[in-house]
Amino acid sequence: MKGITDYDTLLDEVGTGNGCEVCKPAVAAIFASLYNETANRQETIQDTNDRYLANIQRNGTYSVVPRVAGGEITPKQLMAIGRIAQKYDLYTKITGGQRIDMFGAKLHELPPIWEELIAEGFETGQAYGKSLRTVKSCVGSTWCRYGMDESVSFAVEIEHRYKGIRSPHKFKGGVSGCIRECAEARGKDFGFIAVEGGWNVYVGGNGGATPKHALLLAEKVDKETAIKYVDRFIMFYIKTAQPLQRTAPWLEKLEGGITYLQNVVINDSLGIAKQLDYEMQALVDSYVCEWKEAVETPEIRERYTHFVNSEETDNNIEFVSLRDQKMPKEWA
Amino acid sequence: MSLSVLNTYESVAASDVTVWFKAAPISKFPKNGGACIKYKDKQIAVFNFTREGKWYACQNLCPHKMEMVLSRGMIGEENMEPKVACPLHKNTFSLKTGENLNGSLDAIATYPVKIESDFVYVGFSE
Ligand code: SF4
Ligand code: FES
Repeated sequence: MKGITDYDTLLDEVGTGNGCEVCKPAVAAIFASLYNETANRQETIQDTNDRYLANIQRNGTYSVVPRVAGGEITPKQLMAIGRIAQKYDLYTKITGGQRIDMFGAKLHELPPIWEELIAEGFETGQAYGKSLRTVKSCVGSTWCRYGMDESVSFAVEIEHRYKGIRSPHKFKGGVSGCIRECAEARGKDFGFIAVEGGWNVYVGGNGGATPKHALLLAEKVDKETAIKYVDRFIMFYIKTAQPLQRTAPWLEKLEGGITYLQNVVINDSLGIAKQLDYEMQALVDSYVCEWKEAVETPEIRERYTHFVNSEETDNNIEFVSLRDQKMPKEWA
Repeated sequence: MSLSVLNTYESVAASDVTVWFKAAPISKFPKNGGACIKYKDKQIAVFNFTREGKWYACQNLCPHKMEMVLSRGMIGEENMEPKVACPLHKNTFSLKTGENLNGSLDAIATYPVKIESDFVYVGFSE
């Protein structure tokens, strides 16, 4: 990238014209993966959801998703989410990624909602970003009589390791305590399954429109080794995938497929393993919660207003009730 | 949101401006992006094309699903035409003519903008 760190300079140096809605988020993602800068710095080149650090929903309101690593949440945290959702009259639903999504927040409500969540110890779940979403886990050997190892502890650890890392597309993980696979780890971009003698490591799976089971990368390795291989896999993916390409299609297109990938991350066939390890550690070490940054920075907070010339809010947003909660009014 | 609201937005040509509404200081508008202003009952999206020093304004209402969201869309250009992409389903509109560039939706209303002493003014005919 020739040391260029902002979009305008990039256009001046190597581009023409003013860019568009396709290239801006693509470039934003590359900057983010290289420098791990949050979406707050160059907000207008981010994709819609990144610009306000929230997922825009049908009626122009937003949804709020705090991180619940590994799907593990205390009763106190559950009550905090309940209290805040009730206060701001938000629709709540458990997501497929084992966390809680709160819908129907107006733009100006996002900073106060996050301020309260952060005060309760939550941080952003990056549900809006091309970045790690969740690491799903089963209860594993902590509670389950079949469990071979502690899948929740592993999921919590790995979710905190990769949180905030921005990548060509969103990516997800899973950890199951035994081959019964209750966490559906093979349906994720990376997955660990506890077996007799260690962890099996799977990569390149996803659900969604084109479901794909992940492929076995390594068998019966210890936790440290499993993490090292997945570190390298993710870093290699970030550096070589096309924008908006998930790991499954990337792996399918990779010449030599899973065998080639095994050679790169396990046997270091390209001699880049050290560098990948180093780069991943740099990303892990530079994590910041972008919502904390946003609520504590007056200039960023100021962006969360419907009108720039009036304190009024959008009076066109209408809700109707649905099973004791609310939903957007039907489109006219 | 109904069609009656949509019908309140009509393009204003620079020559037809009777009111230059003093909207907000330049600093309120993000660089290379948009923000929404209120004029009477209207919501108007105003865009700051900082690189070129140009400003454009249009209705905030996207005619696709009648949502007040265009000011939060990403801006750019296509064949020298400044445009905005709706954040909900990425329909794009020319900020000069209001025309839907990637579909057959109704054109959106556009409004003239002028800058004086670091303030943004939007032109209306009523
Ligand atoms: S995957 Fe195995 S350890 Fe985990 S809940 Fe299912 S049966 Fe228990
Ligand atoms: S609401 Fe604008 S494109 Fe659908």
